[in-house]
Amino acid sequence: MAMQRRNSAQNHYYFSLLLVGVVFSVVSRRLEPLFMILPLLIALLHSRLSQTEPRFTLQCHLTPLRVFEGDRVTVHLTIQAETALPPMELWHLLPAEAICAEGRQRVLFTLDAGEHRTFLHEVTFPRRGKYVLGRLYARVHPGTDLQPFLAEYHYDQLCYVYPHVAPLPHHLPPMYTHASFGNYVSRTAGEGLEFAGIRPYSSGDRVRRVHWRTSLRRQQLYVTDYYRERNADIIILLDTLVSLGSPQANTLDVSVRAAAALAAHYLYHKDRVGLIHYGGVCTWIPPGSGQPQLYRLLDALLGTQTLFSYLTADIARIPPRVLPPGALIFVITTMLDGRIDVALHDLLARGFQFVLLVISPAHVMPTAKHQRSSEAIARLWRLEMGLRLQELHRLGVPVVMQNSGDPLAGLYAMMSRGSLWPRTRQDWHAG
Amino acid sequence: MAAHKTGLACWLGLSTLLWSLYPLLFTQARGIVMLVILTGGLALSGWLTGIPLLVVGSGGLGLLTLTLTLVITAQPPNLWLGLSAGITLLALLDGSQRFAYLRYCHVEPRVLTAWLGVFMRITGLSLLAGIALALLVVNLPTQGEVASLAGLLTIAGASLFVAVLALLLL
Repeated sequence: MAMQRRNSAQNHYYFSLLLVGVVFSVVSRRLEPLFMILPLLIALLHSRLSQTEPRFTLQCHLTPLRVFEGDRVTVHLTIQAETALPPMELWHLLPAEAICAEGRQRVLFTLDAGEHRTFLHEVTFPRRGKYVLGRLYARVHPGTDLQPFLAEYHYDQLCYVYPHVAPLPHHLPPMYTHASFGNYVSRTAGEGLEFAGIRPYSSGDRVRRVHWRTSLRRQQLYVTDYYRERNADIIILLDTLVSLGSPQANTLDVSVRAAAALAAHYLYHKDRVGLIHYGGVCTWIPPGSGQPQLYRLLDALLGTQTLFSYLTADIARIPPRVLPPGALIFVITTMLDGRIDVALHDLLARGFQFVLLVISPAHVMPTAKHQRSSEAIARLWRLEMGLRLQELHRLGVPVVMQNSGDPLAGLYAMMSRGSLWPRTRQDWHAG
Repeated sequence: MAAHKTGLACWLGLSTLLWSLYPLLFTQARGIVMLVILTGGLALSGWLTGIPLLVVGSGGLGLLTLTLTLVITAQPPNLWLGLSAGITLLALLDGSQRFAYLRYCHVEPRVLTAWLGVFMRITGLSLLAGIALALLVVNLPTQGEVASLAGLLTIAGASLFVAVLALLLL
């Protein structure tokens, strides 16, 4: 790209002083002011007379382009000088949210003809989103800084920053499972990997299941039995009706991080995970399993935002393939919009098993001047929520209220107990 | 990087000190001392905060103070003083701009050498131009017998001024 020559602000300052010197010299009828501005005049002339345009090639390489919040993106800026480069400033313009964690995104250097250099810096993003990187500005200062060569380069590359996925220390088993490959073991024998026992061969058993060592010892055919494998459907219902806080710290981001952690955890345990954005109008991703599903969900969570709407979405409108019967639903909400109550009652009426994760705005709102005020606000919020959630408690719905920075901390305690569901409903529905 | 910053800060501090203290060589009148302090303060705050306008203001004020001092004390013409003050002013203005780079950029060591080279080149050219101008000024009154030469030189000077002005506006 051809470089353009522009006057810098310094140019105008020098010129002003030049005029001031001439005026003082004329008014005072002395030569000294004229001699004082002589070096400035020479500098101005020098900047006009050095006109050689530098030639170079520039490359920008970013790796990796898909990261999680807080991970580092390494930026390689490679420059190959064709002609000798006078002091040159190279600036990688970062998005407002980005933080240069290591190195500098603005470098000033000189190069001899044919020389090449690579500059590295690392960028982190504290918040999820899609960010454009690779916008470069070059400024070459031949001689003084008064009339530099300027150029803008667009090596735009889209960087996906996924919400931070925190590992969950415990596993909350769902109440209903269905026959498929997975980590849950059924009490009945069938296809699977978990050893159940050895029994005499009966007609119809597969030959590959014959346990030869026992068969030879007993002089009769024996076969190996395995426990049947099962998995579950997990649906994450994310309330996007309201978001409180600043762009840097808000309830929606906390909810999204919690959703990402849950999705990654259950997908790791070979369950099928789906996502529903509940924001007046529902959008969803049907349940699926495996790594592609994780990235599908993270991509959807990446663009999660609150959209103002007067509509109240009806759970009945969500197709059964998205909200399958027997699915374990994690409802992540702030409970600040009354429309979520409608959805919760709808889910209860349809007999869905769900866990309510209530995100507290107290952890993202700016802290009050006095510690006591903050505590009082948090207590009031908890009391109000307690009243609103009393009915759900009575119906046996597990409710987790955020007490610390980690919204899932309350869930860990429930998970570690193992038996979250009422005793009568704990048994697996095996086949 | 820290060494570069310290070195440039020392260079800039020295330029500021020299630039503001020039008028005190001729008089220590209270008003002049006040102006000197103001000039130094403006320059210092300008390069510390990275606001170039303050440094330029200090340059303008310094010009005024020095001219005022020379007029008040009725010193005989001293072109070397003007030239040395001009070079100090250039060092101050240029140095404050370079110092801003150190604040925001990672500066390679070779850049400082290149900057110093440019400064020395402009200083050398300024000295040459100053000497040429001084010779012209000293010899101009002695050209009595060639009366038209002074007029011609004035026309040439005016043309040069117009040419420079046009060049700067490009």
